[in-house]
Amino acid sequence: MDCREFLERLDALIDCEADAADRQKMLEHAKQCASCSRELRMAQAIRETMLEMDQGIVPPLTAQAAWRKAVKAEAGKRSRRGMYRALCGLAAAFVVLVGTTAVFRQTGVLDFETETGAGPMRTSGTVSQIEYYGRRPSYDQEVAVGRAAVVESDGEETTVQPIVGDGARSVPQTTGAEPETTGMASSPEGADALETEDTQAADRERLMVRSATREMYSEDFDSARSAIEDLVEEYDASFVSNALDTQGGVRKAVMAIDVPMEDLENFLQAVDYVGQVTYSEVRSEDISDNYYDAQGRLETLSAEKERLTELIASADSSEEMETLKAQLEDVYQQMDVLEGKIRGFDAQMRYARVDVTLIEGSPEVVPVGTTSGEIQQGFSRSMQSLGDFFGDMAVSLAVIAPYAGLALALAVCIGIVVVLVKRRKHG
Amino acid sequence: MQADEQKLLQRAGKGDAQAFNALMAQQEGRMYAVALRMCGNHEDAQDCMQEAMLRIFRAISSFKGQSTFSTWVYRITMNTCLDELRRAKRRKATSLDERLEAGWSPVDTGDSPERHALRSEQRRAIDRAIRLLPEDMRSAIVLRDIQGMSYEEIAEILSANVGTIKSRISRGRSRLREILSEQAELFDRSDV
Repeated sequence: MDCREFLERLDALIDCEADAADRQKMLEHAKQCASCSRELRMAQAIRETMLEMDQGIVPPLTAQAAWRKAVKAEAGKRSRRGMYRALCGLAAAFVVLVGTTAVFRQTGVLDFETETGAGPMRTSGTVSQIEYYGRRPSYDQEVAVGRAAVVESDGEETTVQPIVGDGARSVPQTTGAEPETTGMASSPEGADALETEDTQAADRERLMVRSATREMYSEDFDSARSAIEDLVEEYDASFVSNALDTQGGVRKAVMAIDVPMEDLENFLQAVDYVGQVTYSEVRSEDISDNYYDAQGRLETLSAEKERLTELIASADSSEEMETLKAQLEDVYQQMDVLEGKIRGFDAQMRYARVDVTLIEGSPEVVPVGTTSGEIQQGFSRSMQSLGDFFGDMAVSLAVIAPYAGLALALAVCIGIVVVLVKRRKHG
Repeated sequence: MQADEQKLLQRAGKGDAQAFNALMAQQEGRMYAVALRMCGNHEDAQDCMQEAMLRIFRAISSFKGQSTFSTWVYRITMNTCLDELRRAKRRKATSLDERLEAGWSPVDTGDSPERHALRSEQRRAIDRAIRLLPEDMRSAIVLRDIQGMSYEEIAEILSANVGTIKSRISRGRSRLREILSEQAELFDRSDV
């Protein structure tokens, strides 16, 4: 062994990793070579000293206290961080819900239509059955406009500001000609309502049902009530109900009045002069879908009736005739129901329901024009508006809940798959 | 890992500072020793140890047991020290007297006073020499020759392969001998 080889293997000797043969050779060489012997002694001394160097080293007490204090502070931060994350998450969810509600309000998602059945109708013995088929409902331009805004009045005269939805379209009014008196739908003229499919879509106008509400006060209760009754007679309206109630010595009349549609605005203007109006509202409801649906079904049944009549005429046996007659009877019954429904719709479109509440006395006067009055009014309006918004938020939550549930379920599934894959990877 | 240690680990992972303190009480001595060797002075060693403890506390929930816990702790400690060294602008040589003031006390090995004094001189000389080594050699030498770790453990701590570690240790030792050859009389004493 030479010195170069000795120095190359010195580390292995120091680490006790040299095999016995190498160790022997190296020790023999060290005996003969002073330089290598010195290297070996130095390496051993350094190694021995280094192995003892850190024995018994203990961090100073100040250092021990310092890192413990730092870790405690970090633990406190971590728990606060978790709380902040939860709060941020809630805040983010709240912001998303508010934004969603605002969007839903704008796009009309929260406008739920109510089903209208055949409401109370005004009956007239002179109205023939053909009238409902031969005469198109009459409505003016305002009705053709989309839903009207609900306007709340707190004492001032207000007018309805219609929201132009899909554009105002003028629709020709009926000329007021006598209803056609031809026979039932078997005559072509009587089947005016039975339009072809090609023109049906174009002719389908929006059919609106209107109603209004008024609440008013009057010191002279009797005169005011009498004035309203006179107006009902003047405008050829009719009372659906007229109830008188006394609570705490204060009389209150609650009246439901059917007013001809064309006279609604004039009637309301006149009524507003009777007393001090504290609440005013006008509503419009679109019954187009329900009306045309009933009309379409009636047309189908009518065609079925014709078919069954022909089949009965050409029936071979009495049994077959009996079966066909039973079916025809069923068709007649369904047609009766639909006709009744359509009559109800027609009545609703001809007459607007006005609910009037007349209260004896004077309302609480909130000084308008003064700062305190305006503050009070502004606060009330804001609270009401806030309440409406929170209500809409609850509805929005219900609307998005199914989608959120689906998204959550999907996220959970993906999470499970990821965990399983990771576990398999790590064995 | 023992069951008690495992329980402490789980609790510490959830943010229990007391559990963490109990877990690390066994590690802090070696952590401080490594930091002291790497940084070369008491103040930086304290800072490194504190920073390493915080890093371990933050990351403890992610410890999966792929290595031993002490190996994982050493790795974080070493990385913290290397980060500190890169940032350090000055290195302060710490004399034995300063170390004694800081709470370090040498172990009584039962040596004669002359031998004890020789050992102290040798330690000081090695201490100074270690600080002159480049960081990669220093870290390998400290873990191998002072902490007594295996090549495999050192390779895991320093994220290098065993061959690289052996090379660093070999070159480090050779450098140490070169530096200490100027004081060869300290290490070539057969009379003490």
